[in-house]
Amino acid sequence: MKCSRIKKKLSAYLDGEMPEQERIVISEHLQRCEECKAELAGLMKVADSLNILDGVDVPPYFMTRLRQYIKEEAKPVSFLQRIRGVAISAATALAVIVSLFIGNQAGRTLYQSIAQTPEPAMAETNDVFGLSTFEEFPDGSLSDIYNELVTGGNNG
Amino acid sequence: MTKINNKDDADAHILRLIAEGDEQAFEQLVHKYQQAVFNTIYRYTGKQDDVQDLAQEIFIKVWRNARKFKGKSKFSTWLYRIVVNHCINYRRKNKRKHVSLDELTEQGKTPESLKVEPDWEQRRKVELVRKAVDELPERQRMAFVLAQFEEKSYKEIAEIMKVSLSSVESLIFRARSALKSKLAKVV
Repeated sequence: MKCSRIKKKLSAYLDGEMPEQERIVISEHLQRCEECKAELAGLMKVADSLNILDGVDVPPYFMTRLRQYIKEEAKPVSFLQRIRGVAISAATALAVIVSLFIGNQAGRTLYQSIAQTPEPAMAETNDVFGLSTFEEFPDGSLSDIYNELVTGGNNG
Repeated sequence: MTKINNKDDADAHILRLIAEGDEQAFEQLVHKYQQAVFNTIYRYTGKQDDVQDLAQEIFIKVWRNARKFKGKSKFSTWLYRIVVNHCINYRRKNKRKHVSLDELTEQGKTPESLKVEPDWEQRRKVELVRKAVDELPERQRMAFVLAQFEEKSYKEIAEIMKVSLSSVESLIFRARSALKSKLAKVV
């Protein structure tokens, strides 16, 4: 096995995490290769240096705090508390349905009232340009005289 | 799948009791694993202040999810999986500005006031080693912490982290190589 490959295996070798056969191969290699032996020594030194990192103590009141939390959570829930969530959801759904219904009704009523009312602008236009323009003129009016002259008095 | 022994059977039994709401069984389990959980959190996050809160959240998760434990793996594997996920989420949420190891090793970074304390050299060394571990990439750090400090087997680490055995070997090898070069000046 080449040194580069051995070096990659040294970490697992240090942890005893390899099949026996592979372990024997690496052990034999280490006996004759100073470079790989130095690499292993370096890794062991690092592992040792990490031992200065202490753990952390569990505070004595940790279990008390946890117990308190669990007891709170384990408390029986009253009927009102249990139905509160359902009641809120139901009320929200009802409010949405009622809003939709009211909106729909209001829209329909408004549409109908608009449809029944004649448009004022149109009525005004009819007065100016509509059929009333061709109604007969009052007798003796300037328009009547002009009309008789133009049509030669044959108008009705 | 990991072979289940009597100790694991006992844990599985305790967990069944917890699933039924047995508070005493829960306390028994907490007492058994609290030190390991505290140490793993501390060594992974490097933050002593938040260890207790994180450990509490982890054990509350165990209490709430005891019913979901199916006994397909060892209880400790299941617990460590919760610890790993919780710690990784914590680190992602609390990404802080790192003071690099190089900055720390600069002579000027050690206040004169600290130097007069008898153990300042040791404290500085601890801080540098902790910083070096802290600077490892997430997955390397977790695999390394579990192997180095919790003495978990590669197989169990693979199950906890849900990666292959060869990935665990590679993660730990890379972590060790990085630490070797980072700590060359210190050790």
